[in-house]
Order: sequence, then structure tokens, then C-alpha cells
Amino acid sequence: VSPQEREGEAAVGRGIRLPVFVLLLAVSPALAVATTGTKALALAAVILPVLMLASALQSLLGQGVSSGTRLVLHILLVGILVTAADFIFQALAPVLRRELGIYLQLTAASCVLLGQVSDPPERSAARSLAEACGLGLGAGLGLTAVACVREALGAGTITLRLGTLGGSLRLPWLAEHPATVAVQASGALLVVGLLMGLARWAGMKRSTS
Amino acid sequence: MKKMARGGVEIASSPHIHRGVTTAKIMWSVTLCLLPASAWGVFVFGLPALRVLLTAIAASVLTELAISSLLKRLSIADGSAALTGLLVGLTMPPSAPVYVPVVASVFAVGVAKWAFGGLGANWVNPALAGRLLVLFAWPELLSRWDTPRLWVSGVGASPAPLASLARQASGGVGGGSFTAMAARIPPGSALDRIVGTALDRLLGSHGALPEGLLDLLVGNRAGAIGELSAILLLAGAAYLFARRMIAWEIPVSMLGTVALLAWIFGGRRAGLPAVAFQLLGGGLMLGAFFMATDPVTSPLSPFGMVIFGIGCGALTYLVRSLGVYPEGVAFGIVLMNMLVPAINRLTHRRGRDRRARVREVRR
Repeated sequence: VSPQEREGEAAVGRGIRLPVFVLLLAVSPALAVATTGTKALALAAVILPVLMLASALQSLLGQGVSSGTRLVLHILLVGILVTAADFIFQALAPVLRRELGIYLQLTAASCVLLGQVSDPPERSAARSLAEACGLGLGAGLGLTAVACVREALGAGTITLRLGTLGGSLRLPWLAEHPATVAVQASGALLVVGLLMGLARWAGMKRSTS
Repeated sequence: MKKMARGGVEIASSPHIHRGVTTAKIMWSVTLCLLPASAWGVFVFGLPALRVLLTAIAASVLTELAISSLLKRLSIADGSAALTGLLVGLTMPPSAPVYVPVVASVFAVGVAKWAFGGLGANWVNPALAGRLLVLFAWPELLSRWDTPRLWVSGVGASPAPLASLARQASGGVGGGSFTAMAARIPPGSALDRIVGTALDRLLGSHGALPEGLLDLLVGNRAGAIGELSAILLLAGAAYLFARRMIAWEIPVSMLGTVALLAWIFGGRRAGLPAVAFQLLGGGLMLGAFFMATDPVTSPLSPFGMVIFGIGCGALTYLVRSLGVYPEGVAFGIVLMNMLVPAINRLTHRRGRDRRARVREVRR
């Protein structure tokens, strides 16, 4: 861990305790609907640009604003951007939009929480943009990974499709005996918990060896 | 056990007093006590039941072997993996395809036990966690009540989920009495009829035994492999009680709560037969004596155990009478497992002792 990173963690830690759980809370509405790789990619495609644009606009508009007002501004910006994303989806991918339902709009809540983690006020504009990009990518990748595991176990397929790109894969045995728990909300928490435990265990092993 | 040497003094967390009973001894004793009921299940259901039991045990032991050798904490001899596997197998219907017990056992040992730190650190009963996972994963395979192949007279031998029967019994809405249920599950065998009438004659004017009660006691009924015979399960439990390996508080309060609730909500006509059906039907006996009593996932103090047992019983009855799934024992025990730390904190001995001591000092 570099000193800068430790500093960043400390800054996060001052504002919000237990950022891991905040992150989990932030992505949980998205997890509820991310039952296929495609849906997760769509959500990631909302979260990443919204986070980055919100961060950039925040740096533009938020100069010299008090911290309480910053939060209001941030929520407003995210709300506007997610609504815009919703309209874009309705125009370009109405079927996917219908499948995602309310959860597309609910990503606003995720983005607000993620933005709070990524955006301590004293950061420079470039730094917080980079942070938002990293966080958006991380959340998107995490969502997609979890969704793929869930889809593989719960439906026996893995589909990753954005527009005309990508395709779907049918897993030989699992497709006939899908474990339906994996695509339910409880399955999402199970998979996330196991992945988090695995990541932490790997981290612990690295730090002890 | 983690021990730290500090200035020549060995410091370890409680317990400090050893009764000379090792974990391995308890595990193997419990396994032994489950064998009669398991053998009965195999006898009643035939080879499919044996296949399910052996797959579950093999998967459990292999998972334990793999993980413990990976972590270099070899622990196969303590018998806990074999017991977990056996318990997983006993909660399955004999018709379960081979991958069901395998997944349940691997989840039980790998996730519910080892992911939380191994034996003694698991926060829910591993076997029940495995059972619930596969119930959620393949509900249509696990909610099945397989009928025994022996002694069944043909009357309406179709397997019926406990839920509808329990609802009939509890609300009295469907008008179903225990006799009506017994006619369907179990179908009321010839043996039951013959012995029943003999006993009725013996009892004389003191009333008749409900039809099907004997089938329930002996275990000539539909259900999972290990939950059939109340008598054999009780016999195994009696040995464990005698050796003081399980606490009586948990099963007694759990069974008592289910009985009380079944009696209260059983409706005027159902009465005691409904109580008997709730106690002897489904997996209550197996769960109350062999799963809720797991020392790792049950409270420490006797009072805490009573609270725990009451909670298990109430939740079991609630799920049985109102839930979507046909059986509530696993849900009741696992949910109460999660509350054990809270119960321990509430019923902590030291607080009361300290207060008592303060009173003494004041005097």
C-alpha cells in the first residue's frame, strides 16, 4: 500500500466507516437484477459514465461550495445523469430497459453512495475523475463477475452482449440442472459474500507470507 | 486451541475444565446413535437411500480432507465431517439425484464450516446449511416426500407435502383431522390396523388410538431417509442423554413449543392427534435431538438453551403452518443458530454472579 493510497483510505474512513460494506450496500440494488452478464454490463454502462460525468461536473460547479451543499449538488447531478441514461436506454435498447425495470433508475442510489466514497472534497479535479473512473470500472467488473457466476450456476449459460458484440455460452451440465438459488437475490448475496471472503483470504495470505 | 505463553503461564480461552470427553468421542457417539435410524431408512427405501447416504458422507469427508490438508490442519479423525455428511444424507429424500447430496455436503463442509474457520467456528449447523442450499437450488427435488416401499396399503399413497396437511390440522379450516391425514400420510398400514385394534381392545373404554399413530412412531411413512422412525431416533437420543453428550433443555423446549402451538392452533376437533402428527411427522425428531443440540451452534447456559429451543420450535411451527416450503425444522434451527451470540450475551452468567456478589458485599 503506497502512502497516497493509505491517505485516501484514511480520508474515506473519516467520512464513512467500513467502506467495504458501503460499497456492498451501493451495489446491492444492482445485484438484485444482475442475473445475466448482459444485464450487469448494461448497469456497468450506466454506472461508469454517470460517476465520471458527475465527478467532472462536480469539479466544475462545486468550487467553493460548503460540504452540505456539495452532497445536495452531487445527488442532483447523479439524478439528472441517471434520468438521461434511462432516456437513452429507452430510445436505443427498449427491451433491455424493460428487463432492468426500476433497477436502472435505482443505480442512482448506487452512484450517490459510490460517489461519496470516491469523492473527498479536497481532491483535485483530475484526481477525483480518475478515482471515479476506477471506482466505476471496479463496480462494473465486480457486478459482471458476480452476474456471470450467478448466471452460470442458476441458468447454465453465460451471456455477455452489448449491442451486436459478444455472445452467449451454454454450459453442458448446468443448463439441465440449474440451481435456481443463484439467480435469486439471496444467491447474489451468497456469491458476493464468498467472493469477498476469498479476496480477503487471499489478501491475508499475501500479508502473512 | 490457540495458546499463548506469557511468562511461563499458559493463557487460553475458556473452557478450562475438561470432562475427559473429546470432540471425536462425541462426534462418533452421535454418529453411532444415528445408525439405527439410518439403517431403518435404508431398509424402508432400499438401495437408493443407501446411495444417497454414502454419497453425502463421501463428499463431506473428501471435502474435509481436501481443505484440511490444504490448510495443514488435518482433522479427519475428529469424525465431524463424517457426521455432517451423514446428517446431510439423512435429510434428503431417497430419490434425490446424486449431485444433490454432493453439493449439499460440499457446501456444508466447505462453506458453512471451513469458510468460517473450521470446526467450532461455524455459525450455523453445517448439515442444515447444506440442506437449505440445495432446497433453494432445486426445490422441486427436495420438497418431495417419498413413500416407503414396504407395508404400504394402496389407499392414496401419493406423497403429499406437510404444508397442506399441517394447515388442515392447524387452522381446522380444511376440516382435516389427524385421521384424515393419517389416511394419506402414512396410508395406515395393515400392521398399524392390527396392532392398533389390539391396543384399543386392551385400553378398553379409555378411547381409541388415532389411526396411523403407530406407523408414525415406527416410521412406516413418507419422508426423508433419516426422519422416519421416531422410536429409533429417540433410542439414539436416549443414549446421548445418558452419556450427557447432548443437553436436554433444547429438544425438550423445542418439542414442547411445537406441541403447545399445535395444541393451541390445532382447532377443537384436531386436538391431540394434531399434536402427535406435528411432533412425529416431518423432520422434527431428527432436528430437535441431533441438529439443534450441536454444541457449537447452540447457547452456553441452560436458560439460553431454553430460549433457543422455544425459538426453534416456534419458527418451525410458523414455517410449517404458513410457509411456502413443506418443512420448517431446518429454517427454525438455522435462524435460531444465527441468534445464538445474542442469546449468549443476554443470558451471560457473569453479570448475574457479579450482581449477587455485590449484594453479598453490601450485606
